[in-house]
Amino acid sequence: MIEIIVNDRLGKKVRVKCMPEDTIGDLKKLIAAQTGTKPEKIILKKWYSTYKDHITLDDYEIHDGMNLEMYYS
Amino acid sequence: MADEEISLSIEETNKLRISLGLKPLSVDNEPKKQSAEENFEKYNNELKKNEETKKIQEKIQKSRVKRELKKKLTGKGLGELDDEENDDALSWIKRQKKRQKEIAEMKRKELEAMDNEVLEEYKSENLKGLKVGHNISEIETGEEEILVLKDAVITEDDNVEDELTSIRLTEKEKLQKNLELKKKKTIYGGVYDDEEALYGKKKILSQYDEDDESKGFILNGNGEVFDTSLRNEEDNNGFKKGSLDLNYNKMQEIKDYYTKDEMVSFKKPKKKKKKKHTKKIRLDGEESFIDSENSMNVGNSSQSIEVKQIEKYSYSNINSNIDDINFIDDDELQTALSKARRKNTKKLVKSIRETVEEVKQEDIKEKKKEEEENKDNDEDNNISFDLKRKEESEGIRFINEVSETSEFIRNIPTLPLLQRQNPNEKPSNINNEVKKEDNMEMESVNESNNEESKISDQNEQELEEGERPESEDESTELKSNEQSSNKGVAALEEEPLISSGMAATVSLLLQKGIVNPVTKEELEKERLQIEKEKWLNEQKLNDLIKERRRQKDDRRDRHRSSRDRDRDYDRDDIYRERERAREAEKKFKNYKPVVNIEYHDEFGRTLTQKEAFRQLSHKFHGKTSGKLKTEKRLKKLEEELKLKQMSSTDTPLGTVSALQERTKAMGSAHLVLSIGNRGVLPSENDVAGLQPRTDIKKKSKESENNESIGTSSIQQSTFITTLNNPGTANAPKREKIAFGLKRKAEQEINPVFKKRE
Repeated sequence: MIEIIVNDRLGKKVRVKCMPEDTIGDLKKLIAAQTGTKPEKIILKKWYSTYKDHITLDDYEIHDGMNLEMYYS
Repeated sequence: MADEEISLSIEETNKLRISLGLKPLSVDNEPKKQSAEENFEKYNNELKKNEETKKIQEKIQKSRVKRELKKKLTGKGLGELDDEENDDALSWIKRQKKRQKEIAEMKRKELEAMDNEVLEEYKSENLKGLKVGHNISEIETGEEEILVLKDAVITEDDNVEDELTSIRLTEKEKLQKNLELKKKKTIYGGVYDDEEALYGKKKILSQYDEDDESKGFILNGNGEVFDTSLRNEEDNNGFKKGSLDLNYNKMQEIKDYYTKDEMVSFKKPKKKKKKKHTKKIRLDGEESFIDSENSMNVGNSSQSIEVKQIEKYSYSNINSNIDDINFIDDDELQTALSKARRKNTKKLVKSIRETVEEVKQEDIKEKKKEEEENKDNDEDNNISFDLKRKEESEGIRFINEVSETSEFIRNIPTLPLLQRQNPNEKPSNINNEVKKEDNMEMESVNESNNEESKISDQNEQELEEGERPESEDESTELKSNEQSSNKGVAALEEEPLISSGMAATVSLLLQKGIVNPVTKEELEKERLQIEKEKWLNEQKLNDLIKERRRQKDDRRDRHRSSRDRDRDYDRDDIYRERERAREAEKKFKNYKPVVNIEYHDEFGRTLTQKEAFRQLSHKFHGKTSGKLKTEKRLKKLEEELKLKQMSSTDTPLGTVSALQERTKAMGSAHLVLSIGNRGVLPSENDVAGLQPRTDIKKKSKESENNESIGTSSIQQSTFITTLNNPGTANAPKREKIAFGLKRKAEQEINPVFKKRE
């Protein structure tokens, strides 16, 4: 289990517990459940690289305690 | 805003995950921890083991050291008793004696060995191969000499052989050397040292070389001697003295330049035979030379003009060997060249015009000769053979005389600057030539040389006589001849006759360079100018037509009502506007303005590009040059202006014009500058009083006479003379009078003055 912190810099900061085998899509669903936004509307980014839904966190090398940026489309 | 993090607990997330269809979180961190602990334990164990082994090793080491120490301490201690020996004093004494004996024996043996060594050392055989550092002659026979090993640095190579020297002899040598040094020989003596003369080459600054003498001899084992010094001397003297290189490089390359040494081997003695024939030309005695030419049997006349120009070009190898070589494969050319050269010598006296003519004649002669030669070939060779031989001998000498000047002279007729003053001359000369040519053809070929010289003589005569009148028929005939002969030869261009018309005049002027031909640029400019004028005229015409039309329209409009007019205007305006634009476009279709930008400064001077830029940049930067610089510039401008204003006939102060005015006003040809010692000009009345009119008249008359006598070319100028009391009784003063004559004229006039007086 890892914990990821997701922050849109508009006031929402979510700490999500998830597995490294989860895909970004799953992560988005979890975030959506916690924040109350639709998962399709969430865009996760780290700097300029946007994460795609079908790839796992492990493949993106997202580890425990990492910060991701959240944007809304 | 706060960093309030929204987070769920694990259970909540698990619930959520299950609801989303994901597998629940697996919280299995235990196995990791266990392994870590195991690892830690392992590590600790290893550490412990290592320490233990170290401890054991140290123990072993210690015990080993102890054992060794104990080994040393085996045997009896001082306090312990021998097992065998008794503790008696007697026994101890015995033992001591025995020991002493042993020691003595050992010492004896040692000494013996040393003695043996020493005894072996010094025999004559041991001296074998040892070097003595003196000449054997120095060591006198029958005398004892103590030789010592020479001092040498020990630390250096052991390869340095030992050398024996005698202290006495070395001292002697030193003394001699010092004495010699005291004599103060002059090192830099004459130009050549004897040594240099002998050995050819000398070492550089040999006086500073350390004399590395290899004198001395080597001892033989039997008391004999190998003398090395003698051998060395032989080496020096036997070979090198005055050695000469007998190698001779036959295949030396022919180069343009040789060094002095090379030239020595290169030079060959000149043949005397050649000198017999050569005579030096008399350049100054031109007349006598011509005379001789006239009188001589002319076959060799041209030879006599052999000019020894060869000497001039001694720097190149062009002339070095040429004398012996027979170059002649073109005899005509040689003779022609010789002609040219002869002319060259004469040219000092003759005018350029004459030379031009002569060169022309030469050309003709060449042609003629060629024809002649052709004929020769047709005829039998026997006759031409001796002629050829003659010419060959000539040609050998003339080959050297092709100089730049002769070439130049030959090229002269192509220059346009030379003007021929009498156009009749040319045809007449040519007539003569052709006549002679006819004659020549009839005559035998042997006398060709003769003929040539005759021709040249005749030409000279002609020059003296001037032109001869020629009959028309002949001239026409000859002209055709001339054309044929002159083909391909660079001669003077035809001059158009002025009398034939304006075009001819213009062409003549063009030829002379008096009028410059119109350049392309000028033509272009002119064309543009014309076009522009045309365009302007067209514009004017168009404007006029338009004006007329409009007036007509206006007249028509007047008949209509005002409302109609207004409506029409609206419609027409657009139309007119369009038309005007079209017209304007059409107008400027052929518009090609000549733009010439000129800049002027505040004084109205036209500026050069540079100055203009300066002005512009000053304006742009809002900053001009400083006071000093501007002053300097202004001064320069002023000077320029003055220079421009200054007339070429007058001084800057206008003294000439002032003088003229003054003389006019006074009605006299002179002006009084000062009287006597007074540097002041008397008032005009005084001057009038002092100078009687008659006197002046007389003077002027005289001057007129003089002018008529000889100095007609002298016109208006001034000269100043001082006359002693010219006819005035009451004025015993000297006057400086300015006259309207030149100083040069004065000299010529003087005798006349005397006569009159």
